[in-house]
Amino acid sequence: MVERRDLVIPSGTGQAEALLLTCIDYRLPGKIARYMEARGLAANYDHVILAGASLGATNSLYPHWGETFREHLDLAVKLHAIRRVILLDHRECGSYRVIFGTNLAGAEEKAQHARELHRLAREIRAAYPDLAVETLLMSLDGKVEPVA
Amino acid sequence: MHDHSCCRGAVLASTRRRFLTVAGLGGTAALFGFTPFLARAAGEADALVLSCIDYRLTDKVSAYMGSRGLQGKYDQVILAGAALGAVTDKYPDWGRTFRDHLGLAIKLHNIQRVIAIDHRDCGAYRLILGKDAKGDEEKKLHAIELHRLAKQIHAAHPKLAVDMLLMNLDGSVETIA
Repeated sequence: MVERRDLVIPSGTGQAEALLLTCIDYRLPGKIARYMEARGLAANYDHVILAGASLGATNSLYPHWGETFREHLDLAVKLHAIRRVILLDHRECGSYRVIFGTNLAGAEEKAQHARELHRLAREIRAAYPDLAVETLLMSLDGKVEPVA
Repeated sequence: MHDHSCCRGAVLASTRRRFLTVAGLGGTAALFGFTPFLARAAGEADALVLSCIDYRLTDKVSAYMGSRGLQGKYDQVILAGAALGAVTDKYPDWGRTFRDHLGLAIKLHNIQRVIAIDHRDCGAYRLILGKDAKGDEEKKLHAIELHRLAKQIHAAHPKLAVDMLLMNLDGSVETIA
């Protein structure tokens, strides 16, 4: 079997500005598309989805989700020369509730997301120092706040 | 600043213990066995969409789902290559990830349908299969992987409908028979 490292990346596949990571949740896809369009990034971002977004990539219950994310990030870098990773968690996230067994709101909820967003951002910066990484939190009405 | 790295380990260890306690119930569903309130509170969606990472299609997939009247009614998971990403043995973690997410969508949101949307000129197909097919030959390659995925889904979830679709770069969609 061909090892991944030996695969030849096809040339001429174009460039994208960013890789976006979001959650599976049905309440959000349209709002996410509108948010990215409002930023002038429509048709300019690769997109990968895991339940819980950043938590999907960092949790230790499903380590193969994290590996899936890392392989997609690697593909986005090699295939489309992305320059930025946008990590977009959302409030009232069922995955956070299930994996942590908590049901937080407000500032506590934001702090919980901040830990996972920052954890993943650190991993990405360590592996790809040239990539910018944004850590964001969307409310169910589509509003997005940065997570410092 | 304390970032709770230490505490998180304890939280996950605790969660893992609960997970292992119910693991005998089987697969992803087991994870939700101890949180039935979530299934009630999480609402319902009509479908789970599987589509590709490719930046040229992300907004077109959203527009297509809107045109079917399904905006706000579908869970979505994205893997490079869409159907191929979920069945390839070159990246086995992706298939496990897809199956977990399908289990979540069924358990949490009671989806009735999977909509698998491959697309033409797919870099992941070229990368994984080592072929650069066009036209009918390209469509046949996608049909093979879409059918492979549909077969797997039907074997595990006989009641689920599976739509097998191929999107062109202009956003138009053709059905794979």
